[in-house]
Amino acid sequence: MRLPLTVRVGARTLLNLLTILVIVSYCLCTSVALGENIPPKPTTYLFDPSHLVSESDANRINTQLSQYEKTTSNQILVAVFPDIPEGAALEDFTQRTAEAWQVGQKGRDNGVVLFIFVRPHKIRIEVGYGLEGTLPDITAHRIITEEIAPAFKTGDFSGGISRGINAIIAATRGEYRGNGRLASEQQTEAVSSSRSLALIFFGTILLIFFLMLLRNRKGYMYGPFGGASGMPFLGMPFFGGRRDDDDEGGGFGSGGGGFRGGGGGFGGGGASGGW
Amino acid sequence: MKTVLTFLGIVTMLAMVLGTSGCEYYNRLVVLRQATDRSWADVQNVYQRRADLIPNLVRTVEGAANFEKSTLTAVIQARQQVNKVQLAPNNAPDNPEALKRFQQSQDQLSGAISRLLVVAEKYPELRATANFQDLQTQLEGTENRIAVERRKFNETVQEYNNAIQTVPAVFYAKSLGFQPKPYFSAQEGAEKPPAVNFNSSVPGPTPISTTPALPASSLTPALPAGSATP
Repeated sequence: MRLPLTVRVGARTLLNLLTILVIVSYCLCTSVALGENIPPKPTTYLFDPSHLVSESDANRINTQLSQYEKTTSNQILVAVFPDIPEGAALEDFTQRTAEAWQVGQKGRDNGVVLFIFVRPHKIRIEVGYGLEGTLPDITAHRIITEEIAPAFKTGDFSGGISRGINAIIAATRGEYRGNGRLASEQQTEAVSSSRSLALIFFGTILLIFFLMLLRNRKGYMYGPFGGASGMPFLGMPFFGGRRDDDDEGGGFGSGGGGFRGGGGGFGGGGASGGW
Repeated sequence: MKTVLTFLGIVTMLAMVLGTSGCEYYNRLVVLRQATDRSWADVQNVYQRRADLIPNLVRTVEGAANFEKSTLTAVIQARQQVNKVQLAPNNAPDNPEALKRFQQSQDQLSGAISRLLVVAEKYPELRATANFQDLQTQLEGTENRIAVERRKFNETVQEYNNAIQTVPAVFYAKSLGFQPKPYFSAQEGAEKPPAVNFNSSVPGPTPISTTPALPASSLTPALPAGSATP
């Protein structure tokens, strides 16, 4: 004897709703929402959309910083902006941007970003937690006033940036050792994908249980509803769990020597200046 | 008999599911609360870092010829006041009044320091010394760190408060000892930079563009006219 039509239709609707819940939850977990005025993550070490430096200089800088990451695992970026975003405070914008870009390796927090804002003539070196010891505020300020600003005043932006980078490298070299690989060449930890895998696994088990009940336990009303109501409870803890820094879950690196943030954090260390 | 067994089976399964998900929920609240405690410890850390810079600042400024005494005294007194209003370093505060008092005493010290730095602009010999410039850089850096850690603290508290105030945790969180925690508030007049009137004959404050670039959130409202004149 088959189950009454209402039961079968009800069960099918429930299954459809649960499938939608799973898909939507997965999408929500893996979406990355950056702040309104935070620019998208760069794929090169020199972020210079307005072309302040020439292409050959840009290539040289990218190669130098990529090599530096390989040997030390420190990630140094140069970010050139025409202006500070409307209504934003300089230090607030730079700290949030550096952290959103995840410059530096996770756990080591060994990132440095050299920000240049062209129109207001402002320079800021934003230093990650892990390098605050070797590159304290006073040193960062000296690099700005003695290495970068004098060159910028004469219009030599490429030279100023190079001198700044060399000084930052000299200060931070030796703190950490790299393993010869870039963050962009390493596989990401599949954090969020393991969560959804667990959900799919448990979901499948319950689904099988549910279907078996439907087929074998003809006429018993408890079967399908008991099985189906277990699923939402199992679904929620996985998505209500600790929110790790979700990136494109389970993806592989872009490869080819480009930049990808390693997950480093920034506490507001560094110094500001201008020319 | 079969009905009883099936029923028992379903009940057991539900109990297991609810039990494990209940543990997940409770564990998550514990993790979130510990995140607020850790974040609070970071906030205390950067406030302590600023407090440690004060003696050096006082020494450097005292050495300057004829430095205006009242601004220096204000810093020393604010620093002593901060010592009196201390909160436990390892637990994010539960009491909004306590956090408010703590924040007030710290913000007063921020104000006193920023006024001191502004007044120091009038003493070129002092400004020119490397020691003072380094101190200025360090103080700016510390104020910036304070702003960052306070913001991160507010974020962890928000996540924790959301977790204990949404369904289903809202039903059992209070009975398990999870209280909502207070936030740091934005300062009054934080959006206005400090203005100092050096010329007592001109009424009203005048914005100075050469003031040290302290982050907006640590600055206090404009000084009354005439307080900076020697």
